[in-house]
Amino acid sequence: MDIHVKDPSSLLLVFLLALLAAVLVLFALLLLQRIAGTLWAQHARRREAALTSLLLAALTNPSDVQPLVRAVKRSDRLIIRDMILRLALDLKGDEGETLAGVYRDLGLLRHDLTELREGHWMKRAATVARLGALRSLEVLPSLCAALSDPVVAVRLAAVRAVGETGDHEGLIALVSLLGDSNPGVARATVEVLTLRGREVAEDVLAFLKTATTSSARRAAVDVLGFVRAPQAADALFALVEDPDPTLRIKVVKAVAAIGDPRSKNLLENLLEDPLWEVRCFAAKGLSLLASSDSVPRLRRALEDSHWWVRFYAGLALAELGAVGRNALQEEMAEGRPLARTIARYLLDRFEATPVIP
Amino acid sequence: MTWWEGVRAAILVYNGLVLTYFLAINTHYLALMMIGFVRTWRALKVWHWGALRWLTQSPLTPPISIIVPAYNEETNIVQSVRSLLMLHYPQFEVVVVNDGSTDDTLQLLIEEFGLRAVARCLDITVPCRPIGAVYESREYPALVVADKENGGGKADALNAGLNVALYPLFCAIDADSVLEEEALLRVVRPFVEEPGLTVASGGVIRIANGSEIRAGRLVRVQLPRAPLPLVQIVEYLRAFFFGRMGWEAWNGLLIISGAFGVFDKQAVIRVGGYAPDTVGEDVELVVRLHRRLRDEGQRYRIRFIPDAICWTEAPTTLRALRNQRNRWHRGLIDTLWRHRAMLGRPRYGRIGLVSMPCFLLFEMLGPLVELTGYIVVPFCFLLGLVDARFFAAFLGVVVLYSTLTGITAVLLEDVTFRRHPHLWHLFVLALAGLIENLGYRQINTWWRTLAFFDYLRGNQTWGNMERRGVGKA
Repeated sequence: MDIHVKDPSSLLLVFLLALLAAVLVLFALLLLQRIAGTLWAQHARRREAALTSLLLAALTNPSDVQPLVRAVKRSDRLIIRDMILRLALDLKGDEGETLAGVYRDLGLLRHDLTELREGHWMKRAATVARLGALRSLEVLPSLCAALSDPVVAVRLAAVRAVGETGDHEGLIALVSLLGDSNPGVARATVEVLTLRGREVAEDVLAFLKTATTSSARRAAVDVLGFVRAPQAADALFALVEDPDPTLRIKVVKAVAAIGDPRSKNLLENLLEDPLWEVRCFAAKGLSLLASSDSVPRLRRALEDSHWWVRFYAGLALAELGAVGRNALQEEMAEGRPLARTIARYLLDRFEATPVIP
Repeated sequence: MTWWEGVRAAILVYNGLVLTYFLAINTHYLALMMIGFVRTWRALKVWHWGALRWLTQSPLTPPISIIVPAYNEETNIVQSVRSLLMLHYPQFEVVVVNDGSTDDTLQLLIEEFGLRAVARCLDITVPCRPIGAVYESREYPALVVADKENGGGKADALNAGLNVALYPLFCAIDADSVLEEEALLRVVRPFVEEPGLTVASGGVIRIANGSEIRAGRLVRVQLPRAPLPLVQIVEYLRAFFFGRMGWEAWNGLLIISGAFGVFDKQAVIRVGGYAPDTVGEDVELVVRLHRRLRDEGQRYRIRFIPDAICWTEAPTTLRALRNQRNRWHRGLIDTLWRHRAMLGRPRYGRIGLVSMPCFLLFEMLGPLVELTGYIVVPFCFLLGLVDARFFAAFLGVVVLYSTLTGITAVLLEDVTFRRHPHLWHLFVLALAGLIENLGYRQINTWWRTLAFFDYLRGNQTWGNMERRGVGKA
């Protein structure tokens, strides 16, 4: 076959042959990588089986870690690391600390801490997440340092990792991240503090009082509402008339969740607020306070223009017991169409309660 | 120059253009796949141990309404609803919209889930055909069924679902879809990690034909025995998985599949909901969202999540496949025509300057160029107007380059997810990557070409999709 480089047809033919070769190489690559993957998986299964008893022995008796250390070859490091991390997700307290000790004795912790200092951001983020899963207090200072990492993904992982340890000092370190410039990190901080942060409510309250940005204040109010911090009631009452509508909504939501008896009049008045979300949370708060004095205001809210307000006003009545149920029955008989419909709906199946958006 | 020489020169130029086009389209697919692969690999790397657990436990995870339009879905509907009710997600509701089915879809739902009509008053935020009744269940409080008048297509049913839905996010899925247990948690992730920025997020659609499905869960991935869905597996991997992931890299995604996508409800309501006068309501909605948000100068993201997987039934007969592809293409033509003002306009950024021109050139006009190429080049070869080397190069580009992209897609899937457990699966899929270019692609091109005529004739029908039940084909 004659191929002349300057002849376009010859070039096309070369291209054709190159394509054919590429298809064949790719096909071979496909099979090779699958075979390699399968062999590695088989090897990993075998090694896991061999290492499991040694790992369990080390966990049962921490002084028995040496046989495991000797048995772990260089090529086993990823396998044993995954085994430990899978266990770590289910272990807490002393067992968790023992597991972290094994992780350290195997040299995995040292390796991770090096990666945390020197690695690429993707490695740093993955390392932070691993250390978080380990829930070891020993690594908390490194995790707290990662909270100020310049890369968002690392900070995000660090917030969750510190949350995993659940340590008081760590949670305090998290509070300042409520004002993080990245909304995702701030939100993750709210999430962690919501689940673990009742004990740092005072610190969050102090943060709220000094926060300078709206987003930071919103995040702090969110946490205080979710953890139902009674000590935050006064500070929240003061923010009900804030000019930022999003903050107002969150404040009323938090006030409603805390359920301070002093908030009853405030919530009743807020049933007339121009923002439907505020009216809605006010109705929800009144359902928590369960005062029969609120019945007339709640009945009026059954004619609100927004479905969620009507729903929570009706729910508040339904949860008041006989007085509220009677009010709903009366609404069924009266001529107000919106109130009648929501009353019928709630009396029909008010036990199925969706959460508010 | 005689007139014949002129014609001959024009034909040769056209042949060259066709060859260049085939080269360009395959290179375009390959480039998108490589970008998509890097994005996927990175997404899998930075997603960490236990992170989904936070989403599951958190009271901040946004509640979501899953809207399932159902028209004559008696074969799948109960299994689909069961699968949805078992999803791993903190707070959600399943809103099934019975679009005036003429079969037993509604009756089956009523009997199977103990539904009864309730006086749920609706907040009509987007126009839709009248909703006759809303059903709820005591045993399954997360299930709502709305029975509406037929008409307006899937878009109208989705709009009805939007009016019934209570939560701030909604997920539009097909009645024959089977979501993986954590798919919803995964697809919602961008709304959580980029709050206020993400307006839509799409998941991956994969073909369930042949796979084993028990109690609404896909328990074992198998390959279908029929060749048609088999070839579609490779096609889906190439175009709808890594391809879309590639577009997502620069926020240029134009399609979130109607089979599995999550949207910010308020954003969709603000643009008027789904357009009932198009058969491509999914692509049209995404383009309209881009347009509105860019017009308003807002920062936003439309995301595609590679590990949020939805399994669906692919057409198993030529007729059903023809209807589907014809409809998809009409939808695309219609969307690009409606939003032609965005094309090439810097104001619409990468959407107007890159995504839409690429979709116009490679997706919409592709069938016309390809079809003429399939006819003109062999004809010229027979007449001796082009030599054997050119013809061989043409075949090479059509078959080998396309096969290369198909096998690359299979390889990338195996490196990232490895959902096909056996080695022989890879053999078969690689073979399907070749077969795809020996008839399947050509017939698809023909159907998509016919879609132009159907579109010009004003055909707005969906055509029938014969359901055999997911996993049975």
